[in-house]
Amino acid sequence: LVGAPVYRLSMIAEAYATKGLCLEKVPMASPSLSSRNADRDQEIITCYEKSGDIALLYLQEVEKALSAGIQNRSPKPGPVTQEQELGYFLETGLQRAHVIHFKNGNLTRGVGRFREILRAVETRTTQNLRMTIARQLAEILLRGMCEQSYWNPLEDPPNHSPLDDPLRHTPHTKDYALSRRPRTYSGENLFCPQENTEEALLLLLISESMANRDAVLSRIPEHNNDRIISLQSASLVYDLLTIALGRRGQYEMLSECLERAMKFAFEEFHLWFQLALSLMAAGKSARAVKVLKECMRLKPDDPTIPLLAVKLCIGNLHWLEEGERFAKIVIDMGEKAAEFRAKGYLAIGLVYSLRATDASLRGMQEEYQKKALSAFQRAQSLSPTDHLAVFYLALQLAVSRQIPEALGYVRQALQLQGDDVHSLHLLALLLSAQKHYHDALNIIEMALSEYPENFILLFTKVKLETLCRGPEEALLSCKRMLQIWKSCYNLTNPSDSGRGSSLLDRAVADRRQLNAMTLPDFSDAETGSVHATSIAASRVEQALSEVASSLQSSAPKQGPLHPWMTLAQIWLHAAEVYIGMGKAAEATACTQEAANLFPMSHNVLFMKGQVAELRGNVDEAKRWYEEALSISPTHVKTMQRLGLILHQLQRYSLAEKILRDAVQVNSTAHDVWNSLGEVLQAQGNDAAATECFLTALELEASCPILPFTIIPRTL
Amino acid sequence: MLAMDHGVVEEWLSEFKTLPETAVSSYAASLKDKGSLVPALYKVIRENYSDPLLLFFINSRQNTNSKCLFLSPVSFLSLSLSLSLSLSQEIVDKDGQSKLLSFTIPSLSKPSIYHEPSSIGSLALTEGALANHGLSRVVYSGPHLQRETFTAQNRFEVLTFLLLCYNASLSYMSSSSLQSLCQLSSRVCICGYPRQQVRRYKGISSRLMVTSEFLVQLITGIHFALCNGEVELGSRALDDVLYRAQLDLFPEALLVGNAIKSSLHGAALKANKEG
Repeated sequence: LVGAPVYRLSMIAEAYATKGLCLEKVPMASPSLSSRNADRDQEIITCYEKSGDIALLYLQEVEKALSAGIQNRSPKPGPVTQEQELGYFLETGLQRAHVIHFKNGNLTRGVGRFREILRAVETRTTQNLRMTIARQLAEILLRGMCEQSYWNPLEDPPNHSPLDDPLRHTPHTKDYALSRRPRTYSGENLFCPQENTEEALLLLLISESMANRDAVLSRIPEHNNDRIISLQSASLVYDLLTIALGRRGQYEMLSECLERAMKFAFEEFHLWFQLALSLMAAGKSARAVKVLKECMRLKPDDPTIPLLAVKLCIGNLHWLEEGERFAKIVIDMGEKAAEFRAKGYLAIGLVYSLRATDASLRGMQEEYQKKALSAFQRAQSLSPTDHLAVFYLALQLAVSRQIPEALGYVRQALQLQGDDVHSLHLLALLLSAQKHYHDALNIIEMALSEYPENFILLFTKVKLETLCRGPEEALLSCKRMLQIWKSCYNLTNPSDSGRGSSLLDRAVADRRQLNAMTLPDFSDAETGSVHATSIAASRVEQALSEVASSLQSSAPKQGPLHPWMTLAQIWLHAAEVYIGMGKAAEATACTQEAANLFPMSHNVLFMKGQVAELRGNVDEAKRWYEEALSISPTHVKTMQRLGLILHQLQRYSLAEKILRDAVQVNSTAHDVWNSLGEVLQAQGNDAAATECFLTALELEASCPILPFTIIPRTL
Repeated sequence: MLAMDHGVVEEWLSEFKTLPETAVSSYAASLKDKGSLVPALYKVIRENYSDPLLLFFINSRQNTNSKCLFLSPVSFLSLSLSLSLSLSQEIVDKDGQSKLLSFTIPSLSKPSIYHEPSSIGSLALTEGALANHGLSRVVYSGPHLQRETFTAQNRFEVLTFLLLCYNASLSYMSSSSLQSLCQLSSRVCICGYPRQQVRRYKGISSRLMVTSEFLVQLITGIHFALCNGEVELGSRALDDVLYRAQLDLFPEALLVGNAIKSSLHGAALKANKEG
């Protein structure tokens, strides 16, 4: 082979391929001579492998000669590099060897052969072959191998592998050597995969780039066949990419890949839907909703699609009007939606429930609450074994302060799903509304034994402990929360800097993030996490806090926000306990810790106001409250405190205005009604004052320790 | 018949409970040699499916040829025992240090043994591409905390991790283990849902909560079973998991499950054309 002219290489390759073909035609020896048959198989394979190797070498040489020729004669219009076609014999040589390996159940050798072909430097002629082989190898890696049975391309294959047919004993190494071999990719720092998913991913990315390059997109009828083939092979590559990346939780990257698939996607439901799901999994909610709309157009009968859209809309997007539209689509499907019908009612109930919380007029609130209630009842009657339907029914009843009824349903929910954290939490809050604080605390402690790292439960626990066991106990709980926070988020994981960056961890970390997201809440402790204005406020806060914290070095750096919010929240709870104890210095210190994290949070500002009040600095307190309201104009607690201060300063009409506004925002806040009564009384309006006091009294009788709406409402 | 199997299993479990901590790993490794036990275990799980919890008992991985199997806990004690056992072996390396699993995301902009960047041609010059230029991202998992107890909160974290370990040795699993995986997946996903009547599964009928990541790991195992001889059971299990993923609106599980279905469908089309 050394020094042989190029055309000779091709002839030798073809000769070996022909020999292999001929040998295959020779009839098998009788089964008794199985060792003879094995030898023959081996010989055939050697012929094909030699043929393939030499063919690759030949093609590389041809390409080298051609490019050299072009360079030499560059001024003249040299011979156009016509598309080289792989001849029948050369192709047989390259394709047949691994087919026989697989037929013989010798996966190890087959994979080895694939890798040899792929490691040879690409030529123009082998591109198609390489694309197919890369995809096939990826399929084998994903479907037939696992981490334990994997060996990397630079290692020797294992002697005994579960991948091979145990009945056949074929050698794992080849028995020939060539004096010249095709060039392989070389150089320093070549990336070599160490794991089967890694290798599959590399191969698929290569395949994808080729599939994308050779895409046939033309829609004229003559190209229809080509287009369909090109679509099918691309679609297969994207499916395999999804399998590989999904296994490793890399949804961010997957959504980027699938976005590249969109050039094939005109009227192709599967590609659209997969993109939508990947965007959803990657947390790109707004785009996911848009893509889901297109999916709905392509497949209007599928109830899952609008339901997925509702899930996104009532999540952190908070697009309630859109959510209502999507939920109505499912309900309008009627019987056709089958099992999903109940889910449709659940979805629309949640939308109404959230809108009720958002509504600023009491009439509206009541109307939405009624609608929500009847939707949940419908969902429950359609799917009586679904604990979610019963649970949300109970929650809705609780929000409208029908405590005994709510208790009945929450018990039912717990019978269906005994360890559901939200049901347990609701049960505890309901008990606290009936002033059975000790029972409530017992429930919370029981729930915490199952969910030891659930911060919402812990926050409720602190509140209850302050009442039942005194502030010292509550402070101990705060301290424990800080420890839990540390163990949850301070795992020094090198890739924890961004969302979705750590493989199976996503399972672990995201669960925690979800817990953290539904805090009682940093944006609005009074009305829960899902108030529209508080979302706006928290965005402002975030922006302001980023600016402010960039000025000081101790503030948290990059990274997901939720853990830091949780931490700040813990400090604020501690501050509140200290305020209750009358310890101003400690409260200040705790508030300062929170302020270091989020200097512009209205919660922090509110707490500063409280500390100032404790110290007797009314003017300072008033200033802090006003600042807090300028960030979050509907923060009821702040409004109430500010109203009281104005009352002290004898500015009655302004106080009355603020308190009336507060009652509009949250008509169940009994302390606001009480303050309003006091202000009215001071103004001499006794009749109205009495009304207010009575309302306050009535509401206080059914008031839970923390608002029911701190329990997250999600689909 | 079942009573006899029950006896075998209970005997084995009581033997297991009396073991000293140090002998547990070799006891687990010897499991595969106990001819009558393994089938009996499968049977008991299948017929007597009374406990909603799955116990994924994974024995020592130092012995890579060991078989893994599923069983349902007869008692909670054995459950937590075996969990802490298998987890402590998975998450701690030989020196007792917490293990950090890593995974490199290959990038086409770096040369590899299969390609060189220049031959890929026009890599889309996007902002993202520029930002990632020349970086091969390594993602890590862990170090995983050692779990002493099994709570509702970490249940799926632990089960997902155990399934991940199971999936890492899929090639070594016997076909009865794969069948068992498929059947359990079906049951876990449809119990308490209308489809349970269609499948006529008896036993528990309350819904089991699952997570999306857990389903993704289940699907990975089912995919392997489906492509390695268990076509019927595998495709039924895949359908059931997808059914559940739809009802619970889990994008991750839907994504991977749809991709597997579609890729197998494509392969079938091709085979038809060629054959």
